[in-house]
Amino acid sequence: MDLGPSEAQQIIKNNARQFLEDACPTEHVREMEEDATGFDPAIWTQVCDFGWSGMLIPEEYGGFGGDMTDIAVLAEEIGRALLPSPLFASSVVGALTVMEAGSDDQKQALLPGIASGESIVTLALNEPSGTYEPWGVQTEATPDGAGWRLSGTKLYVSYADSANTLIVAARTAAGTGPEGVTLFLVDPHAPGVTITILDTIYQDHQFEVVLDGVSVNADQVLGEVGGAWPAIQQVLDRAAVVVAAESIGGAERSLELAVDYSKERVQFGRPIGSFQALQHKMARMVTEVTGAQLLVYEAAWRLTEGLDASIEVPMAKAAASGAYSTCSIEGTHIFGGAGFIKEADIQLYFRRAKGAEVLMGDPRWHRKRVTRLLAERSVPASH
Amino acid sequence: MDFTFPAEVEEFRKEVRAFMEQELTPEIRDEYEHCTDYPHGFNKAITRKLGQRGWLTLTWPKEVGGKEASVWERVVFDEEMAAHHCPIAAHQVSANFAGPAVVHFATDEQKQKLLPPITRGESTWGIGLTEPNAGTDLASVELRAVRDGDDWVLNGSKMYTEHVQDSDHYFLITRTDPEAPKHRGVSIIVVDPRTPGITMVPLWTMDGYRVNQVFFEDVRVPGDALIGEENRGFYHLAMTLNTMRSSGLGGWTEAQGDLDDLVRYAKETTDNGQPLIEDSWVADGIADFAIYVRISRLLSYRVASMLESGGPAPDRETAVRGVWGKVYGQKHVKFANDVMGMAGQVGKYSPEHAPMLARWQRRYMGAIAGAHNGGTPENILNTVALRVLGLPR
Ligand SMILES: Cc1cc2nc3c(=O)[nH]c(=O)nc-3n(C[C@H](O)[C@H](O)[C@H](O)COP(=O)(O)OP(=O)(O)OC[C@H]3O[C@@H](n4cnc5c(N)ncnc54)[C@H](O)[C@@H]3O)c2cc1C
Ligand SMILES: Cc1cc2nc3c(=O)[nH]c(=O)nc-3n(C[C@H](O)[C@H](O)[C@H](O)COP(=O)(O)OP(=O)(O)OC[C@H]3O[C@@H](n4cnc5c(N)ncnc54)[C@H](O)[C@@H]3O)c2cc1C
Repeated sequence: MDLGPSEAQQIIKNNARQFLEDACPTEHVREMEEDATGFDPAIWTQVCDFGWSGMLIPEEYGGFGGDMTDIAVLAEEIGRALLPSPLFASSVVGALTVMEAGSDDQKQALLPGIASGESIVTLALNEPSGTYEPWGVQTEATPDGAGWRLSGTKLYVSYADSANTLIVAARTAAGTGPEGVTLFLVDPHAPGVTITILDTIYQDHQFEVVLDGVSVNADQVLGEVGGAWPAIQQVLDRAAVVVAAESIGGAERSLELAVDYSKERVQFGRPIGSFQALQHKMARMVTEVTGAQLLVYEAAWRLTEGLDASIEVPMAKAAASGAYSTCSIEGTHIFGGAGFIKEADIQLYFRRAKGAEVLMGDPRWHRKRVTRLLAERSVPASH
Repeated sequence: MDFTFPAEVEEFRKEVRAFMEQELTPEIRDEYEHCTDYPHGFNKAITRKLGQRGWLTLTWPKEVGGKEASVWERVVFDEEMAAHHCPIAAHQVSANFAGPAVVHFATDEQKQKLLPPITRGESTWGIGLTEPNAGTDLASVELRAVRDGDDWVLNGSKMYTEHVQDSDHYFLITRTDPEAPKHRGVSIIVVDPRTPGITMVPLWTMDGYRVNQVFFEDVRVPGDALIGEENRGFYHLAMTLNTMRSSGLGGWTEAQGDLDDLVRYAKETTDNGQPLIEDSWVADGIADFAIYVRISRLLSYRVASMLESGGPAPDRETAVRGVWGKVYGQKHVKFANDVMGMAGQVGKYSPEHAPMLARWQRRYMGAIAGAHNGGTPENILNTVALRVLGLPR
């Protein structure tokens, strides 16, 4: 039991940190917030060359063949550097959706492009309800000759403007349950698709995607008609762990920023880090992030080993989001007025933490899942 | 990345579990919850049986009667004890707090005398650190020990000592050099608490057990009562405190049992027909509690894994685990008690109206002592701030 990265993973982590410190300083992060595409193609090409974009994709499809613990370790560094890129949207969520739901032909067609970074594939799952439960999928797919027509509004779709393919979840049979949900491969430039950027707290290129009678062929169904939900659930669980790992990296960096600042900022003739009120805040921050990190590693490890992780995944996401909130909110307070100014790095983490908190399920929803499972597994007392 | 125990450790767990299931009768488990005098039961016969198997001092060197087993075996032993509510008071201090200091700092002669009875589960110890004027600020102890010929003579008092009324040995930190800076004038002395001149005044805790104020009046003990170097006691103690804090690495299983009980209760108890667990505040708090327990387990395993790897002492990890338990633990106990509503106030003398084996009235009070015993929440936060984060004084 080592409860952490292997030596090889530590090397991946160190190399990633070194590269990102050079390539992605916080000035770059700020610049990309204003940028029309939201990421730098040169950096994207580089990280794809490192194999990051193919991290989770099996070697037979041109990927790196890594597992959930590998991506978790890498995601920590990405979260620390706040790297703006479609890596999560395409190489994690997009890739996993194709891997979980697609036929072998579809994997052959889509995965090598995702792995090389040449094509960006993003999942359009959420709708205005914002829920990750099956009832949230209300976009309709109605039969149309040999194909289908899609109508509905998809929301929070990452990098939809850069995507070559959208994977749209829609209902081929009316209802609110898991049955009847189908995934469609949709060209974002197809007639009837309208894409509008959302003003999110972190300016991280999420979009509204309106589908107005968009016509798709039968071969654009990813996997089986009506049977996509189990695959989506698998994707959501894995993606939640990646966001959780990213949150750990961001939380750790928030803490470091606060600690460093508090050692230097002098008020009342003393560094503010000598005031116990702030010391205790920071002691709680390090404790929360350390605990949550172990839980994220455990969830990633269980998924890698094929063990049941249905309770560890929501626990990990809830804990990691909680730790990121604590570290970034308290961290920003410790900066006083300086934390509120755009030039401050800490406010980037503060805003990112909010985005990561709601991405792939907010903590409250994950806690609900935990309790539901505990209740199911609870047995009457033996005595 | 790996989160599994070595296979032989799981085998050992089966052995310990079988013992617990066989030996811990319902009466003994009840004593764990409800005995007066001790929060977690006091049972010399059980302690002796554990000692006969060598389980009390699993990781100690063989030459002093230990088994040189891995830290993981100690962890699963702890886990099974806590999960089965095994009484621990008769060996907790001897095996986990005082014993390790003797192993590290005592002379061979002292070890031969003091350690074998500990490993056999035949001797019970108390530990006297706290005094009326020295709580968190332990270096301020005033219990005076003066050399007189070959002997030591002790005057002063200790506060809040558990176990000592039933102990054979009493581990003390004493002031041996009042002129030196306070950290440099402290020594460890072990006495027999039945020595003339020692009186114990019981103090009863609000949850109904006994701690003591212990008075020393011209208490004369032999020179070999000194453990370790004279006036280096505070530094020896730093190690002892860490050993204390890294013991009980399996203690989280008790909280797991509490959580399981709570889930069952909230599922089976209804509020106007609706199970409590379907109420959103209950559901949310239960998950939070479950996350707390899981992280407690992982932070404990982290400390264990570092101890097992034999590298530098995991002081940072131990302190962080301390904050987790002491700062974050109590709210879950309060939450569980809140879920019980009116019945949460009811205790063991009205068992028919007290849910969950009438455990929670006492748990509610015990959570305070649990947080303070062995170092307060603020104290451990200070440790993390100064030692782990390197914040300025
Ligand atoms: C949006 C905005 C508008 C503002 N407008 C104005 C304005 O119009 N006019 C104006 O004069 N000012 C203005 N301010 C400044 C504001 O009043 C200060 O930011 C505030 O007083 C804190 O001072 P500081 O930023 O220097 O933080 P610091 O004093 O450096 O504090 C940093 C951190 O240390 C903590 N800290 C400091 N001393 C102690 C202590 N003794 N014990 C424990 N913790 C301590 C603080 O609580 C804080 O968390 C504005 C600030 C903001 C954010
Ligand atoms: C049930 C029980 C059993 C015990 N058993 C034993 C035993 O067997 N042997 C033994 O030696 N002791 C025992 N103790 C004593 C225990 O270790 C002490 O209570 C503890 O160390 C705190 O000391 P104190 O009570 O003197 O509180 P104080 O040190 O006076 O602290 C009072 C408050 O001030 C805070 N405080 C103190 N210093 C600081 C600081 N620097 N920064 C911020 N806050 C501070 C504390 O956190 C606390 O909230 C027991 C205590 C209890 C409750």
